[in-house]
Amino acid sequence: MSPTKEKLLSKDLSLFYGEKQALERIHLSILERQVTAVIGPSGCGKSTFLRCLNRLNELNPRVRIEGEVLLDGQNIYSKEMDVVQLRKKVGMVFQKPNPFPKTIYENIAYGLRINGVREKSRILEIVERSLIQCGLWEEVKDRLFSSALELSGGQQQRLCIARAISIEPEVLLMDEPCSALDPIATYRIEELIDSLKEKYTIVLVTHSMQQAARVSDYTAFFYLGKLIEYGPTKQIFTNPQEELTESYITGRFG
Amino acid sequence: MKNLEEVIGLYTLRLCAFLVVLAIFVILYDILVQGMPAISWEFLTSYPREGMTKGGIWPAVVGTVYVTLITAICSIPLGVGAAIYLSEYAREGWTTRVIRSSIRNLAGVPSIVYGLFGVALFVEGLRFGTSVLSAGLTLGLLTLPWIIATAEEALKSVPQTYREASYALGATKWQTIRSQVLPSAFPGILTGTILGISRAAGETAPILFTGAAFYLPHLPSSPFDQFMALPYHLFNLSTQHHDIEGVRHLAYGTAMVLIGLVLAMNLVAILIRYRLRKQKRN
Repeated sequence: MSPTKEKLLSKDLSLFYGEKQALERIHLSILERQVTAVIGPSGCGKSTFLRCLNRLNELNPRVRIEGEVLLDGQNIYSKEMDVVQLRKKVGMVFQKPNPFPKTIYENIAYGLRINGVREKSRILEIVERSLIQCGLWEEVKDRLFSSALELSGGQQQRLCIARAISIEPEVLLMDEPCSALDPIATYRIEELIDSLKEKYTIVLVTHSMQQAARVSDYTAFFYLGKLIEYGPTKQIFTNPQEELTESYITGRFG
Repeated sequence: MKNLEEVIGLYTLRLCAFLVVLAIFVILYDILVQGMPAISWEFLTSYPREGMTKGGIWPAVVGTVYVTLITAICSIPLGVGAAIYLSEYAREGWTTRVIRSSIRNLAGVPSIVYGLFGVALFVEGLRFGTSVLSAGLTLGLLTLPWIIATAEEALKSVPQTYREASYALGATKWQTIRSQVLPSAFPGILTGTILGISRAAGETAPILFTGAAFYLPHLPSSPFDQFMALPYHLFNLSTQHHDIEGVRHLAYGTAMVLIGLVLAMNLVAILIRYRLRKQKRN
């Protein structure tokens, strides 16, 4: 694997929910145009970590954060960083598909409009392009103006991915995007992730070690709010350095 | 033994529910039977005549609609605005707690107190006089706590995932509220609001000193005119009139129109909610 540029760097990142510490001095470097998987048992802080990367944790007033996250060398927690601009660069796909209760078209058009795309023809063009990229166009092209809630779970999740990439972020955060989907829908999303990494830096939180092994280039193993081990996926799964990592990936706990 | 307790419990609760429904039906039945004969096109569209012993209730119908509109115009934006602030912006803390408990307590203030407050503030203080405007504003105050509470409830029931999805796309707080949160909460806000307004339409005490007139030979031509209103007209016919027995049938007719108006508003609220829910599910 050729060395690539560092896109995101979490520097001594700690997070507290009130008094409870959920993340402990996470130091993790995420490389550009690679898929980095974050694995670990439930409650290990992997989703919490992901939400630090687009500052979504700030919606909860009880959350306190220490340390830094650098995006292209710039601290996203500094006062100069505009959180709205940050989230345009760092898109997110959630655990449960969460399309807006609107039409398929409107789901994508909303993101474009708030990002300043006004022309109808331009919006339609990007809607089509995003849906093609997510392999959803053929399935929905005749019903762009019917409700997104009529789609199946897998289709909804691909729509959410299309919505996220329509505004061309640089980083795509994915929080267990397949946990609510059946195996076939999961397979399609994994294929999609593989094709998206040509353009985007992807951070994928997953509870499925098979998924991490299948789609990621690098893997980080979290346990009880700490980063235990990080390295190329192949190495983590074949030759883990830490005993904890080994017992987790061999299924001794989880 | 246990079984007997269960049975007694069940039947007591059933009896409670039955008594409540019974009360409603007795009232509706009585009004329907006695009020129906009084209802006619003429009754609805003509002025009271011959010392209110004959004629209709047209100015009272118009007055009630008029004052209800003013109530809606001033209380809906204010109430929904306050609810958005409380639900979306206010941080939990001492101030927010004080605001919330004040609103809850305001909901429990007797309506006659609102009436007297309306006299002091709108009629005297702001010199709106006894008028549709004063009465509408007073009713608006009365309705506010209800609107704020139900609108806040509706906003709180919007799934957090919609907000997160919107923020994750780089939306600002106001864009998220306007484009995602408010449309989702709209059916709930609307029903709560209509129910609150319909309750205000039937109130008597708050309009008693602030603008309602015993009798007027003309319709209000500006917000600063006095007006006749159905609830106050009903009150007059049944307690203040010189021939209460003689105008009993007119009182029943008035009661029926008032109840019909309120029920119609509630029905509209239910229909809107039903249609929007169905739309959303599809």
